[in-house]
Amino acid sequence: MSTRILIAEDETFIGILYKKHFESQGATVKLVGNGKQAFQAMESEQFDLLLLDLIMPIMDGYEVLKQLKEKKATIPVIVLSNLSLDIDKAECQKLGALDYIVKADNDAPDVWAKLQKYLKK
Amino acid sequence: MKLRGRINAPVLFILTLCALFFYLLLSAQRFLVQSLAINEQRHNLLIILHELHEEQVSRMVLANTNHDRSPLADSSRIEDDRIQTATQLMTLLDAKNAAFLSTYDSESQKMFVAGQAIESALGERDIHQLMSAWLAREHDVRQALSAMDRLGEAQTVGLIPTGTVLASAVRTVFSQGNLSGVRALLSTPDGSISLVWVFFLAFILVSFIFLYITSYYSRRLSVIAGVANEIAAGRADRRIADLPAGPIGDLGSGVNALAAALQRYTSKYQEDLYKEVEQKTAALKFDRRRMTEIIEGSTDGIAAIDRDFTFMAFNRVYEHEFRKMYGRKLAVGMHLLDDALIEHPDEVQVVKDLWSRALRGEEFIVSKEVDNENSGHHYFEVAYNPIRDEHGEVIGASQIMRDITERKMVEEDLRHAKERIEEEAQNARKFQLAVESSTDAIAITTADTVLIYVNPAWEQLTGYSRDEVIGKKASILKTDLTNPKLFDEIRSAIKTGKQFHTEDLVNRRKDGTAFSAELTLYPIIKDSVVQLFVGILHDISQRKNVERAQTEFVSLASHQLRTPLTAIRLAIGALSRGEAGSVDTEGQDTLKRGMEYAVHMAETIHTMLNISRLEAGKLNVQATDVNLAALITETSFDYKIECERRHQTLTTTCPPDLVLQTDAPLLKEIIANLLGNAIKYTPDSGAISIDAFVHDDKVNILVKDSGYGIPQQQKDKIFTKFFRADNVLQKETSGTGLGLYLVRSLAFKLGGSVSFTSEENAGTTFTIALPLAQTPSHPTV
Repeated sequence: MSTRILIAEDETFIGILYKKHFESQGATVKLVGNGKQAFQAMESEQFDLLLLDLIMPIMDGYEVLKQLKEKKATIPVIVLSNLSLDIDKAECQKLGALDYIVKADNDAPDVWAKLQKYLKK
Repeated sequence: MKLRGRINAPVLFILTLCALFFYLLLSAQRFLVQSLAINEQRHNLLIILHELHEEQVSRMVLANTNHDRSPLADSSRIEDDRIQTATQLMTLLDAKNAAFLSTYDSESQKMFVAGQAIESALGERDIHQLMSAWLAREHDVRQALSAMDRLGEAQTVGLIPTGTVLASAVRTVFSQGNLSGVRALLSTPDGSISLVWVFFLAFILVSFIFLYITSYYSRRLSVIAGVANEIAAGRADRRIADLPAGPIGDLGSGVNALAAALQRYTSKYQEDLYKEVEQKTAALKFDRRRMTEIIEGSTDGIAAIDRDFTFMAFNRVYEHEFRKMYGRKLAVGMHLLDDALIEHPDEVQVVKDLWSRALRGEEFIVSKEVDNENSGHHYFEVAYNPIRDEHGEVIGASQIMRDITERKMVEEDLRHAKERIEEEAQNARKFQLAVESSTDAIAITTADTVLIYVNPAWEQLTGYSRDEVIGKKASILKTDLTNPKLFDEIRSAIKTGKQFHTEDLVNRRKDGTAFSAELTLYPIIKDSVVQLFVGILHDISQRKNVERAQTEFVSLASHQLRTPLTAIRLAIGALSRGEAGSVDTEGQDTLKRGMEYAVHMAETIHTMLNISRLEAGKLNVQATDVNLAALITETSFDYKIECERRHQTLTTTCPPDLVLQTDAPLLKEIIANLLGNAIKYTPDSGAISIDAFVHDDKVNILVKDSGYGIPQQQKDKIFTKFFRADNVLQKETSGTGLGLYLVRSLAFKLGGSVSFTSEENAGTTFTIALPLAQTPSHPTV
């Protein structure tokens, strides 16, 4: 069974480019535009990993992390954001994110390579 | 003539008799008077004895005083003692006198009785008898006289012839040698013996007997009177010898008894007197010895003179000082003016005036300054006092000379010290004024951070008044908005007495409002112990707000720049990988170049963001245990794709168990920058390596490449902001000139250093040296 990845990214163009590359690598990808949609998706489907943007309308990435933590969800979450302050990274780590990737510093293959660490199991 | 001769002879005889009789009476009376005189002289003797006693006491005292002269003996205290002693003595003597008097009274009573006995014996038995006998005789004599007168008158006419007869009869007797002449003489012309003659002869007989008796008594009495007088004169051992029985003998033995009693009491009295004098003298001697010890032991020079300016006494110190001053050795009895000061005539008048004042009864103190080669410069305080005897009469004067040079010097030193302190105080006031008027908030605390001073600027900044905070801990300004780690650093600095600086403090004012504070602590260390801390506090809220806004702006700006850049980068990538349509070979080259610019822009944004945070002080070192091998692997992982693309080899070596305490993201940033540079400035197919090891307690991380190298002449500029080497500029490589600046800044931040070796077109090796463990605090100035 292929890897199922949920991408929460409000910039659709960027999301689609990740989706295309991950799918080219054999993954099953679902793309949502905000946190609320991400929860809806997770309620109906199972995912192996959540790639989460921080700044999103309706429900941002922090809120998603908070609620996941409250629900004691086990899904691995990788934050993918263009924010790069230490406090942002620290906050995400505190809320249970496994990694933090700065979007602009990484091409899609770089991101895919980093995700592998959390998908091996 | 003849008649007168006849009559005068009996009259003269009677008169002689009368005179003798009166003499007898007078002698008896004189004895009584003398008895009374003895009594009186006894009293005199007593007074003499008393005087003698006093004289002896004073003589002995004087003898003692002379023997052991001391000025203090003349001091008022000793006078008091003496008066007291004399008074006690007098009291004792009075008691003795009283006892003696009573004894004497009884003796004199006895004598008076004896006298009365004599009087009665003599007067009643003899004198009165004699008197009455004499008076009776007188009557007879008077009668006889009157009879003779009458006879004479009657025979006046016949007297001449009778005389003639008498004369012739005498003549006859003397010429003829027969008694008929005498008979003729004694017979009247008528032949009978005349009655007048009988009376006359009888009277002569009686008179002779009487004369004998009176002369006997008179002689005896005069002997007794003589001896009594001698006894009265003080010779109590005199006695009357050859005492006859009878009233005269009684009188004599009475006098003898009186003399014996007197002698007895006198000797006993003298004995007591001497004993007492001896005791008093011993006590005085003890006092004197003690006084002498005190005087000799004194560090003051003490001397006494009498009214004639002759030295009576002085102690060793005085002698020593005098010799130093006047070069003369003193001796008791030396005259102060004529002898002791003989070589200093110019001083005589001054010295004399001073002593004279004391001799006039004045008590005073003068200062004396002496400066000569013998004694050097000395100051004395000299006290003059009169010496009085027990009656308050000034008999001399004393001088107490105290060397106060040392005291003067101490006073002088004190004065200098005071001036210095005053000067210091003025300086201190200047400093205080400077601190007071400073616009920087300045506080001074004890080593335990208890506030002991705050300046007005501090009061203004914190809202606390000086009186409110003095004695309180500086931590009254503390808030929990400050990173707790900073407090640990401050405590450590205080404990170790190190200078400390921070700009990350958040303090609270009295009204509760918080402010960002910059604090600089300066320890004031004396004898290796922190005495005080001076704290300078600045409100940097405004600056912090600007910085915060700046950081937020940079953060927001970088985010806004990155979002489109991400899209561009992903689009180029997708195109080049054929995920978004196909591109021909020429198009692929263009995409590759476009990707390079996109990557450069991403790096620039990343580096600028880091530098912005570094310069804003937002990069806080948070040390944790870091496994270096894992960190290197993780970092190189990010560059694996790029290396592969350039056909470069990337090798890493690191002991797998090498753990150091450092800030992992910052170290990663350093390695990433150096690795990025190595890849960028090494041609395709080059070799790149990262080697880590521990050397001299330092972790060494070597990032080595076989690239273009750094030109020799530009080696000292490579860590400068925005610097890019000439050779790499020609190679069409992209770069911001910020990477190495950031690397060096971060290496310093982690307590380490960065160095490099390079050879152009052969390669470069950067070496990062880091401590194994982060020190808890290091200045960030």
